[in-house]
Amino acid sequence: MSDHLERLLRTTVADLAAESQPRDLMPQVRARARRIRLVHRTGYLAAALTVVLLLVVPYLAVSRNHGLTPPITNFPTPSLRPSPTATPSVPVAPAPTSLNAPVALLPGWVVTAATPGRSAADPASPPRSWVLDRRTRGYVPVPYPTAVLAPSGFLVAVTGPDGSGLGVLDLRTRKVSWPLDKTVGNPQWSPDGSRLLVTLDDKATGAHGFAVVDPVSGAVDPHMVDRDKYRCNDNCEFS
Amino acid sequence: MDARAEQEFTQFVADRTPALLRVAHALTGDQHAAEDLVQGALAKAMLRWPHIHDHPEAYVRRILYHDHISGWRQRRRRPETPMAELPELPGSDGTDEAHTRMLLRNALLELPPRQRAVIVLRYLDDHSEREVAEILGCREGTVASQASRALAKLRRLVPAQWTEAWR
Repeated sequence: MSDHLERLLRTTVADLAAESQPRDLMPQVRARARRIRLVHRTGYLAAALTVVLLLVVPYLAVSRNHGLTPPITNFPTPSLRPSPTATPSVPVAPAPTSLNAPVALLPGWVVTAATPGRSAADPASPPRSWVLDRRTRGYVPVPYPTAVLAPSGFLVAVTGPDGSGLGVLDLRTRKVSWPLDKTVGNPQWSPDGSRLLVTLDDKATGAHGFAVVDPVSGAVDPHMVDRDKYRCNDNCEFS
Repeated sequence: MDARAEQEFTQFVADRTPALLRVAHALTGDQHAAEDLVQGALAKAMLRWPHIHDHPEAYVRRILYHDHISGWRQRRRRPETPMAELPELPGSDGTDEAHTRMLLRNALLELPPRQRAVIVLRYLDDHSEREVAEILGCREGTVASQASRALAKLRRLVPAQWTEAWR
């Protein structure tokens, strides 16, 4: 019975198809393609506008709330961190010894420290960084290639030349203690400023890991990582 | 579209429109709806012609079936009227083949668009279940279940003695 139904169905579908009348559809097809293209273009335009609005509106809202800090003309960044294309032969302008106010690059964000780029470091002169002093609200120079200001207070994590040793500088007393005399990298503060994380990298033994340092007591809690288990081919840092 | 592509496309439309209209008419059961469906598919093909000119017919047919199934346009223009009972057709003793076919035709147009598409692909274009699945972009199992559901419904709509009588 299903066979008969299927045969009957085949005839019926063929009949239905045969009822169609041939027609030249080219003009309608052309018009329709134009319309689709127009709709697509309008869609793209609307999407682009939406993206622009999404980008601009929050920025305008924020800048209206906070007001942008006027640009500081003697900002030392160009001399401290030149672009990678700069060559050592380019004369480096002398940096000012102090800046009068914290530099705000974005509303609500303040530059806390500036360190010399590797290519900018003049081998003849000792490396120097700039750190924000929250008491004077100005920047002070410190004679270290790395300087990271704690999230609050007056402690600064510094490293010796080429990352030799980790020091903690107190901006109030200008004294430095050195809890670690190993090669360290990438010092980072805990959000409350009570601990310091540094990457340890012993070039002689190949030992690799990190240490948590108490900046006040100078206690060091090292954690070495099994290099066979966790491979790192190049410059790994912990964060 | 450059002049050569334009000419190619125009030629394709002239050659293939009648066949496409036949399929569309089997799908919609209406000349205007069929033309609408074919126009839409050809317009999309025109916009994508540089990418599809090697195999335009397969592309256009696929669009045709997809548009028919997504069918919002068609449903808006020709709202379906579900009938709980078949209309009485007087003057038939149940052995009239033309009468049975008419009944089947109406029943076919009552099917949901996807089931109708499966029926047309199977019985007009003679595609295998695998090919139908490929064109509709679904799994073979779906095609089989849609087909059997459609046949079951048609069998219900067309009383047994009529298909039997035509034997």
